[in-house]
Amino acid sequence: MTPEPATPGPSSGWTMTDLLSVDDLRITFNPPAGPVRAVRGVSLDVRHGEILGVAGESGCGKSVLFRALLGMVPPSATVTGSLRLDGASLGMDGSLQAVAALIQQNPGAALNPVFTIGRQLHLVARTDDPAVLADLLAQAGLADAPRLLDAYPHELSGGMLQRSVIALALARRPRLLIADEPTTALDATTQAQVLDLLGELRARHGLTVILISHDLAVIRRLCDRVVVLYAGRVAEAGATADVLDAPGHPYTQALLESIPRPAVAGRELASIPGLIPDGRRPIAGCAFAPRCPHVREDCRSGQPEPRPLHPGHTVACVLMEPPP
Amino acid sequence: MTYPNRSARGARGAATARITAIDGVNLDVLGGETLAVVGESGAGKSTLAQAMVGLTRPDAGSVRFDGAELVGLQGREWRAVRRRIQLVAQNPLLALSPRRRIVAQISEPLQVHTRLNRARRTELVAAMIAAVGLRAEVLDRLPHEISVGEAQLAVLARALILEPSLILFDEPTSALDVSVQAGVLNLLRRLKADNELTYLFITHDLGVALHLADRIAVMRHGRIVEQQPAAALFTAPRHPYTRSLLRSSLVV
Repeated sequence: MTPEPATPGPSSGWTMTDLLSVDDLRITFNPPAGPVRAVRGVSLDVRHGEILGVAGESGCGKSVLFRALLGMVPPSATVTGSLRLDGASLGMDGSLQAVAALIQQNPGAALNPVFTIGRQLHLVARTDDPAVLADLLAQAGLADAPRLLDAYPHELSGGMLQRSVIALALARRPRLLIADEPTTALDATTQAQVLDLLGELRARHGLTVILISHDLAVIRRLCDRVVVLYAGRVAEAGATADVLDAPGHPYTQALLESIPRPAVAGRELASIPGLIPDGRRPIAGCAFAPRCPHVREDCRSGQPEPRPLHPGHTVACVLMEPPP
Repeated sequence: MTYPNRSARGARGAATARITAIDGVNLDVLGGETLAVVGESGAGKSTLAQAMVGLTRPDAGSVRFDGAELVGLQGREWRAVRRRIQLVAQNPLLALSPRRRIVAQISEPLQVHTRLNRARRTELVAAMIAAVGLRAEVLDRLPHEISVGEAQLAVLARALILEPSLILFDEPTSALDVSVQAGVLNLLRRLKADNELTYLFITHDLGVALHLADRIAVMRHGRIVEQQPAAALFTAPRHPYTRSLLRSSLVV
């Protein structure tokens, strides 16, 4: 990568290193009660072979964003924006599924409870060659294939289930793995192992991984870059260490300070007052302004655009500029 | 403590096995302290809390509260003890009735355990709502009309309204976002300081345990493998399992 010029936003248009490029994605759900704006103009690039973290709290749009790219939102939802894969335009009708596999939080829900693991692998891999199936399991870190292929999901632990789901994902030979809170339902020791596995898959197969997580410690452990979402927009994006060690956006700062950790044990934690904005109402200005400790006059007018803090590190906050 | 359990192959209900969930736990919660119980899923943490409020009955052993034996206690005597021990569990939407307004649910323990009149109950509910930092509008809502964080504060208000001496928390912030969790943890510390409360706090999150607890007990396979003052557990863990838990817990 050559250093990027001061371009607006983490998406600077497609470059040679980008696998996926999302531009001005907007997703609105249209229930009878009135439209709900879930994603309000997100642009981001996913580079070949990187592990990109997508962080944010409930309701920030992190899951629905990728669901829309995979064509997994209801037909009544309005999805606009553009998607490019290797520079070529791609529809948001599920075409991305040809190259991407999704791993979700609850592995039990992703597997069919009445089929053995072997049968489910067979259906996806389109082969019943036990050697091929055993190899898929081995790639997901599961030894003892003969026993596992005959096992039903309820006979396996949470960690083994999630590894089985990863094996199923690999059976489709994806270029992109979208992992949505893949370790949230797992215990700490299992979580660390599954995260390591995702890292190995990238290293061994050159897979590109998008890791969606509310847990910044998980992001820190695995991701090269991170995009922090708030209320359906990108608040901050950059190299993981840059963003987590020197966050530029007041939201990222507050989020980090609210995490209980040894350094602040026994002291009052910083919590973020108020609630996330209601997606049913239009948001004037910065969505974080009502909760922001640094709010000033010009925050309420116009949505802040991403501005570079360092090369490759952008922050969507008016504090990046001198007051008007 | 054992449970009858359908074995993996017992789909027709023929074969049953027994699972030992808690196996010889000796644990003292000292008046006024916060004791955190940490461990991974299946360690028996929740079963332990359930045994303490009579939701499961131990096969053997004793649970004593303020010197009185709880196992086998019934009727009026049980109710007298039970109002002093409250439980706050992980999922507030399971702990609240989906069809009743928040005000009625916070007020319910007063109807069960006291003879206060309606006006006095309303007064106490309003005071409790303020104490946990909920907006008054929440009172007239149904659980699905408020945020999960607000619902958990309502559950906490309901637990506090009888002025208990011991509160058992079973992963009370695991369903919450970290920014909301921070507010709840701060609140729990304040409430404890102001109200002479004792906490037993069950969590899988070592950061949360260290933040709140005076002492931490580590559970595994139904046993307590180690208990130590909170800071000491982090700096000088003695049991290999504690060390492996500390190693695998991620930091930001």
